[in-house]
Amino acid sequence: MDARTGRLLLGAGSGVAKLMWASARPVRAVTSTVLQGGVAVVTLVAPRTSAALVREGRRERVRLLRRWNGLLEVLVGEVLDAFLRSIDLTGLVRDQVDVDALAGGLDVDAVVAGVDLDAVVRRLDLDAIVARVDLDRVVAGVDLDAVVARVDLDAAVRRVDLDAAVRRVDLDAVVRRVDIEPVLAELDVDGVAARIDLDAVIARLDLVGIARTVIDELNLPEIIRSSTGALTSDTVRAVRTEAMTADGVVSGAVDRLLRRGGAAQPPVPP
Amino acid sequence: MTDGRRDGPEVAAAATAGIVSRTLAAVVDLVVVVALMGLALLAVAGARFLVSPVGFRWPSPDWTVSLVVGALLATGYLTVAWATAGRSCGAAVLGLRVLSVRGSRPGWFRAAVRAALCVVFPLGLAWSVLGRRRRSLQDLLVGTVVVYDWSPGDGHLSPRGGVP
Repeated sequence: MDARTGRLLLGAGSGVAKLMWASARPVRAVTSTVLQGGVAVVTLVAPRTSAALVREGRRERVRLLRRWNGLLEVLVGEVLDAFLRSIDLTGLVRDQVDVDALAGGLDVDAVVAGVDLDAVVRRLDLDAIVARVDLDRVVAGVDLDAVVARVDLDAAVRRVDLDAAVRRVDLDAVVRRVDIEPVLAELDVDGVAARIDLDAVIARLDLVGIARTVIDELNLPEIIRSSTGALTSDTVRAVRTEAMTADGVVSGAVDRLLRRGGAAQPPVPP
Repeated sequence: MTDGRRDGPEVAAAATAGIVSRTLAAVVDLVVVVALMGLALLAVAGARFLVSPVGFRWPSPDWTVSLVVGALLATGYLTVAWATAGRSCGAAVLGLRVLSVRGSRPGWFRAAVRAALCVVFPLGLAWSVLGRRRRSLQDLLVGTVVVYDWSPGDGHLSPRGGVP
């Protein structure tokens, strides 16, 4: 085929094509309209569908996660139980862990300093704790002798303000409550007296000083004077009375002798 | 100075002392005078010893001197006693008091005269038995009376409500 034929063929083809393109215009228009409507429909419906799909997917994910977590928990629990059953954890710790080193590295002071003991104590219901304690059993288990042996009583007594304590004691009430009779009945006075070293007591007494003090306080001369005075007073009174009676007797006798009319002045004790 | 006085009716009402009480008082006073004489003798002996220790001899006065000294001592003792307290030691023991007839304390002069009369003529006391008011010759001469008074010290002669 020569060039001319080619050009003819090309022209013919081109003409046919143009004719077909032109004749297909209505088809193209209808197709375009249909396509545009389809796109519009898809554009309108697609977002709603996709959002619903997204929501559905989220819900599904959450469901799956929950189920998976539940399964995981059961699985982990079973695995751990089996694991712990299979090993001797105490022995392992005892063999492998250097507890001394751990304790040595622990700064107990810092730990204690960081603890708010007040808050801890405030949260404690001490009454309830004490109510639950079986004190009898606790006391029965205490070796009191050992405790007392370790107590420094001197130091404790030194810190006690005994004066204040004694001031607060109502001694009268205490003494009133004491039933002294049984105490006295059980008291072996003879035994007590036999054990007293009287010589030592007397040796320590300043008898001369005591005697001097007693004599100073007694006003002995006054006592002697008053007792002697009472004695003399009685004697003198008796002598005076007898003398007065004798005076009266003598006067009466003389009056009778001289035949006078009785004693002019009968003796009358002053 | 207040003189405790009692009036006549009070003296009349007060019982005057009889012969027995007054004799016993005189005996006690005699003992006192003898004791005073002993003291005087001791004083003389002490003075002698101080003056001449080497030639010391115990004094031995004769009876005349002793009587004179005793009379003087008795007079002085009774004067002081009656003038100051109204009673001698014997009168104090027997509960007697010497008053003037007006009821006051005798005073120094009256006491001195009465003391001298008592020493010179003690038998004058016997008149208290014969007289109606139990007054001795000395009482009649100096105007005194002896009454029973058992109150101590100045007794009721003290001023009423005064110092004890």
